[in-house]
Amino acid sequence: MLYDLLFAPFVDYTFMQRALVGSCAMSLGAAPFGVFLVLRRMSLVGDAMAHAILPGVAIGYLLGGLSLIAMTLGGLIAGVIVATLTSLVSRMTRLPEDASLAAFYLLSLSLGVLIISGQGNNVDLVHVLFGSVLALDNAALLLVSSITSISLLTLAVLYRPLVVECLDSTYCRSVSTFGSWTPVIFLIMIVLNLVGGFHALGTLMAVGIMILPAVVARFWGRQKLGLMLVIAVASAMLSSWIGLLLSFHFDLPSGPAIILCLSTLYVFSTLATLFKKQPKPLKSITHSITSSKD
Amino acid sequence: MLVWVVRASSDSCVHKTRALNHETNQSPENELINHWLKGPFNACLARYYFTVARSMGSIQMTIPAIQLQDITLSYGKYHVIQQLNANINKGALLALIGANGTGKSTLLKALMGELKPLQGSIHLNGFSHQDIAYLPQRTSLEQGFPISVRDCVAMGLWRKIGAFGLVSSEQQRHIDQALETVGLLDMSETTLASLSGGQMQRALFARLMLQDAPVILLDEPFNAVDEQTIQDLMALVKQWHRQGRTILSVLHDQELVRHFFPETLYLVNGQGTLGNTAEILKQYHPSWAA
Repeated sequence: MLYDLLFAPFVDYTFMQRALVGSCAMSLGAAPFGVFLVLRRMSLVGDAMAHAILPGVAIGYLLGGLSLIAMTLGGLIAGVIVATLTSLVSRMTRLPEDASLAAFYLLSLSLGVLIISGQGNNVDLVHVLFGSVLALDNAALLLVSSITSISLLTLAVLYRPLVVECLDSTYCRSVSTFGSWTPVIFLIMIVLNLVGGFHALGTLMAVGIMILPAVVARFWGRQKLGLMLVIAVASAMLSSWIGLLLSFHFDLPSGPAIILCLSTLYVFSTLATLFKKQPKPLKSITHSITSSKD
Repeated sequence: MLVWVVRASSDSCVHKTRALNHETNQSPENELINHWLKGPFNACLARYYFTVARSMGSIQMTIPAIQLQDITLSYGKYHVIQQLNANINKGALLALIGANGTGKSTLLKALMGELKPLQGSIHLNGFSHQDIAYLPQRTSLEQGFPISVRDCVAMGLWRKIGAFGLVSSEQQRHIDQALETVGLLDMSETTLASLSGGQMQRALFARLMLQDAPVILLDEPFNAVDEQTIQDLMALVKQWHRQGRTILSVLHDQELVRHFFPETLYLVNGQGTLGNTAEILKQYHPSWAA
């Protein structure tokens, strides 16, 4: 009975196996970057960037139909262009970066929907906006897995600069020329993961598997970055598994089911934190610097 | 008698030298000789005085570590600092004072290489921008970041270990020493978010210690910090000064400036005046003078 409920769908059906592998790969690649987004107080930037890739995806769709490569490349280029334009506009004008980002993502979203609506049908539009994790083919799986591999490798290389940059960007730039490039590479990785995610979850939902696990991890991570990264990946994978099962048993759309599971974890975490014991106050310092060595 | 002349004049000459250095690239000694005693005979005589005096150890020539030559610093069309000239000597302990918005932090950013002068140039003698240790204002730091005090302090080793290097056991001992010096060894595994303002400042000073830099820039290091912490951290600053490091600190506390900083750079209306603290305070900031 428990086996039929929890494991049988993944054993019996190939499309469920593909969906699970795809969403777990996305969890592994996107969730750690989501943690850094949340820690940098840039959660909404992820959301805006997810919308910003839409016109690129739409132009890719226009040129190559539902071609994986055309839509992926289009999304990637659009994301990088919007990120660059946002940064340029905020540097050249007095407009804050979040305001120019909001303007660009709304422009992108409306442009993307217009292109797809004009050339395709509603089914195509729904596919692009909400994805279809149950319809992942080999090529899409390969793409998502490749993006995850690149993400993990980049994270391994970028980990220390990213931590230093998040904590103290001025210090990071002062000690390393690499420090100036860290936010740029970081933003490119965000766009790359969102582009990978949109095939399964759509442009509107892809950011969910990036930000929500990070928010959950912020509650349970006990102020330890390593633990937060593990919790984020684990909660994203757990939600993918439960979401796909709910989708299978109750005939629900799979993408929203996964994101709803993550949202449930978030609500539970919030409530648990509200009832958690307050930490003990720390002792104060009475030390004096007396042993100075020249 | 000759030595007495040089001794008596050397203190006042130091300031003349600083004022002159930006005009030519000559050594301070040559400039001093040429300016102080005009004419070929007098210059010859002065050169002899200096040779004798130096051999007897009676004077020390000051070497500018940082030369600011006619620098203008601006944000867009707004010039924060205009045509500032100043020579900051090697081993100086210098207070940077002035009202809010006069360009103190901007000047530090320029020294760090973060902000390029619109006009003029900054010469760093014998070191590069990367050899400068910088303590930013606390507002630029994300204290909620989930990291332990020890890991934060260990970031001071960046130049030695880079982005991928491991921390050796000897470096671990250095981290322990730095934490112990600032009184945070017992709290090394505590997260940054748990630290008070003063404790956070102690952690950042420990990070500075590990950076082991010849030039240290401090941007309002004692703001909203209790008296005991100020005393402890000032002891560290004095220790760095004794070690021959060049230290510039933005300060708003008149007592600290007057008692601990022999030199002051006073910024007002885009202009700056560098000199002996007592004289600067007397001339430009009488309310701060003793």
